[in-house]
This record gives sequence, structure tokens and C-alpha cells, in this order.
Amino acid sequence: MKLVQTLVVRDEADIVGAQIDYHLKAGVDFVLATDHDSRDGTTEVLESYERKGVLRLFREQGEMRESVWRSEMARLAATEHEADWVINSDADEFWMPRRGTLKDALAAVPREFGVVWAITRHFLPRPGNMESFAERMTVRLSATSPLNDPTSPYRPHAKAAHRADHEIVVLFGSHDVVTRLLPLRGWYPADVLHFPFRTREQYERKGVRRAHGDKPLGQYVKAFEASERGRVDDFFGSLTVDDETLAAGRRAGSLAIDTRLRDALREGDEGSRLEGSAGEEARAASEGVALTEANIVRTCRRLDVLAARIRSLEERTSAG
Amino acid sequence: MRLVLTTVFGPDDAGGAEESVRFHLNAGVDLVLAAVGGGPAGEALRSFGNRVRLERREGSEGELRTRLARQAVTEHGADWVISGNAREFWWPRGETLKEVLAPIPERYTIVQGLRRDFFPTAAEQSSGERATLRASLEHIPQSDASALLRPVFRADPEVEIESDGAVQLRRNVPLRAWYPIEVLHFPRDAQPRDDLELVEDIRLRDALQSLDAGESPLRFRVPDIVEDARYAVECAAVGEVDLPRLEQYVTELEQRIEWLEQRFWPRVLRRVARVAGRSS
Repeated sequence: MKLVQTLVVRDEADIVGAQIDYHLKAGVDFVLATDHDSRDGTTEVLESYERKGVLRLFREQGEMRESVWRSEMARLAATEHEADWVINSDADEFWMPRRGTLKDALAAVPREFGVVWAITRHFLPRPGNMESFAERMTVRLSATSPLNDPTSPYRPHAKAAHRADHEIVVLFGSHDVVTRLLPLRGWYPADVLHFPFRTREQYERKGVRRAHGDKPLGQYVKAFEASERGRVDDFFGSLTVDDETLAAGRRAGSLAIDTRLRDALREGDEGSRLEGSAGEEARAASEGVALTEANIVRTCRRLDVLAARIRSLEERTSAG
Repeated sequence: MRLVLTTVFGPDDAGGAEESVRFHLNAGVDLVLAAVGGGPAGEALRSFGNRVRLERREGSEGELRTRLARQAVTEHGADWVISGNAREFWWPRGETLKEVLAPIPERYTIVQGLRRDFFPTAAEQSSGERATLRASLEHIPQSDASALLRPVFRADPEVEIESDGAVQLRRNVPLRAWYPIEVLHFPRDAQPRDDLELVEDIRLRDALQSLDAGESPLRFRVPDIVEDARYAVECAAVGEVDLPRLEQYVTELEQRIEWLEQRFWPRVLRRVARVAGRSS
């Protein structure tokens, strides 16, 4: 099996090397990466992998068009790189199989299905910035009810992996795809370990640049406005988990210690597994339920927008 | 961004009116439009100068609230409007009310506040002190979500507000299942409740004490992730969105589309016939 990863990156120099190293060890055979006008050294990191022959680099400038770039790369994976499966990632995301290897997990998907999802597990910033993000950020959110706040970076979601398809459309955020391939829903063979905000400086930089993208998410608008008002310390501070918050979260069951990525990067292998203790499996299942509930809320919100459009048509029809 | 609070004070609200207005002006509200029936409430509010506009209390509750909300837009340039009640305190889950509303994506025209009903202890009731116990939703799922939700809405000069506070805009798109504002509500004549699981909540008492001590504006604490995770459990318990409701919603939209389709084709055929008649 050949496994290809697509990557869209902008200013993620502190993490992108670890991301690519990890996935190459975890079973990814080749990386297709789009660099969106990085200015922090990310481009040079990507070029170093291109020189090694494990990555093909595309350079983009101007307005962010993530879905278009991602779809082009996912199609190229099928047409020019002989991929069997494609995973679509951001620089701060690490695909970790729940058991076996990534290729084992994808190989287990019955032939008639072509799309599977991995649940995103959000990791939270910790005080200080002396060590690498993976050494520092070993606290994971484990909420059993969904945070449906449109301005939170920690809303439940999942990332799509799919068989190679030369016509595929990967939607914004890679949470879903448009394809003739059959989706296999409700089974999550992997976690995507997600490290969106890592240091105060990175939080501000990411917020300021992303607040004006093709789909400015609430969390970036919040960071941008905090920057405009000189309040980044306060806002980033509210995201940071100190020891007291960690203890309270562990008591409440909403925070968990998760060293899987740290261990994998230390050991230089493809990573430790959860290897399914009953408690951990139950916890993962309840987070799966929270994801389902969040998706129901998302659908309802889309229907609200649709209802508003229908109402406008009804009024015009009645008036005409 | 300009945030306007419209509110209606009754003859019994004189004491609370000044406290309520002072709180909201220090929580991010730019202007209060207050309908008062004359008497001491109006007098108390004049001390706020041009940050409070007093309006006459005329018409039914719905008409009055609608008139105030429209005035907020047409005469006072509001971007967002809160249509509040005398015994409510709109508490932001963020630095201020404005900062909570600012990053809400454009497509949402209504943000909902989660009402928190406070009940006095026997001692608080006899001394007249402000209650500090409220019901927790964590263990008490509600059967009627709409009774718990209070809307804040984007400016609309044609807004309609019902007597129960429900809002109708030209484009109604509520942000569902997450409530970034809590509405601390102190019902008139509330009685001690031994039958409910109550939790202590001293936020308002502390905020009012801070105002008395001269702090202005108020500095609200941004909840951390553990508090947000706990709040998510309560938001889910409100039960605003679930699968059966979603299915009902899809059915309703299907019926509305069918209604539109039934009117669309006869109109097209009539037009075609007219055009054909002209050309022959």
C-alpha cells in the first residue's frame, strides 16, 4: 500500500519538521505540501525534505484557498504518485492509529468503503516555552459534551482519509470530502493529535494572519482582536493550562495526560499506542458521541441558514 | 461596535433600576434605552447622563419592546441589541459583553443568553439580601429550552419582539447550542427551593461590590477550558438541538420548499403563455 499525506502550511516552522518526520516514520510514503507564503523559515524546512526526495512542494501566495489547493494535491496523489490512500493534514496535526500502524488501520477498511475519519484530539498550551511543543504539551482535552462555541479552537471534529480518487474534492479543513467513494462512518481507526496553539507568539502570529483567510474562524478573529487591543497575554493566558487548572480538569474528567506524541518523537519511532484499556476505550467512545452531537448541531446551524434563504424566497413569492 | 440595552422598568423596580443600569454600562453596554413609568426609577437613572435615554412606557409589552429595539437601531446606531428585563443581569463569558459578541461569525444574527434563575435562602429572603444560589442544569435537563434562552440580536430596523421576549428579524439565524452570555435572573417573589440542586454563585454580588468600591469598568474573568467543558454539559442539557428535532426541522423545510415549488411552475407557465400570446 502507498500512503500519501497532503499538507497545507503557513508559518509553522516550530512544528512542521516534527510533523513530517513523525508521519514518514508512521507509514506515510510521500508528502505533497503547499506552502502559503510562509515567512518564518517554514519554506526552508519544506525544501530540505524536497531535496531528500520525500516531499513535493507547491508555493502559493495571495488569498488563502485551502480547499482548492488541498483538492489539487489529493488528486495528484492519485494521478501522479500512485497513492492507495491519502490523509489530509495541517502542520499541527499528527495521525496516530489506535492500534497497529496507520497502514494496518487503512488496510482493514473493507474494499467497498473509501473514506474513513479520525477524531481530532486537542492538546492545550502549558506555561513557558523552553522545551519543544511535544515535551510541554501533554495535556489533552477530553470533554464528553461538545464545545459548540464558534470562537473556540477546541470544537469537536474529525479529519477525512480516503482512497486515491482523481476527482476528489477536499472541503475546507479536510473534515469532509466530495467523492463517489463510500464513507465508513462511526468507526475511528486513528486519532489526530492536534496542537493548534503552542506559544504566545505563535498564537498571535497565527491569529493575525488567519483572521483574513478564505474562511476566518472565530478563534483567529478573537486572536486578531486581542492583538489589535494589546491583550494577547490575557487571551493566550486564558487558553493556557497551569498546574491548578490541570488538577481541576483531571478531577472533573475533562483533561487527560497523553504522552503518545512526546514518546514517539523521543523514541524516533512511529509512536506508542493506547492499546485500549477498558477505561480509555470508554473515554474515546464518549468523545465519539460528543463529536456526533457536535455534528448534529452543525447540521442544525446549516439548516437555519437554509431556512433563512427559504424565508426570503417565500416573501418574494408572496409579494410577486 | 455599538451595543445598546433596551429595558423596561416597572413601578416596583426603582431600587433595582439604578443597579441594573450601572452594571450593564460597566459590562460593555454603550447606551441604555429605558422605558420607565415615571416616579423614582426615572429620577435615579438621570444621574447617568447621556448614556441612558428615558422613554415613555406606552403600549403593550411587545409593542414597547419592539419600539425600543427599533429606536436603538434607527436613532442610536446599534450594531447589537439586548432586550432585557429589570431583574436580569447579562453576564459575559469573556472580558465584556462587546468582546463576546465581536468574534461571532457574520452569519449568525441572534446570540442566545442562558438564563440562570436564582432562589433566596430563607435568611436572604427575610433580610432582603440578593440571592446567591441558583439551579444547576448539569443534573436537571430542561423540557422547554426556549424558556431558558434570552436573545441578543444584530441591528434590524424591522425587528419584532413578542411579549415573551422572542425575536423575529428579517433574517433569523440563531447561534444554537452555545450560549456565550449568562443571564443572571432574580425572579420577583422567588421562594426558597429545597427541591432543586442549587449551586452557590456569588459572581454578581462580587461585581456589584466592586462597583460600589469604585471599580469601573468591570473586569470579567475569562473562563478556562475546564470551566468551559463543564458549561458545555449544561449547554447540552438545555436540549435545544437533538436528532428528533432535527428530523422535524427537515420535514418543515421540505414542506416549505414544496409550497414554493407549487407556486413556481404555474407562474412560469403563465409567463410563457403571456410571452407566446404576445408573439403570435
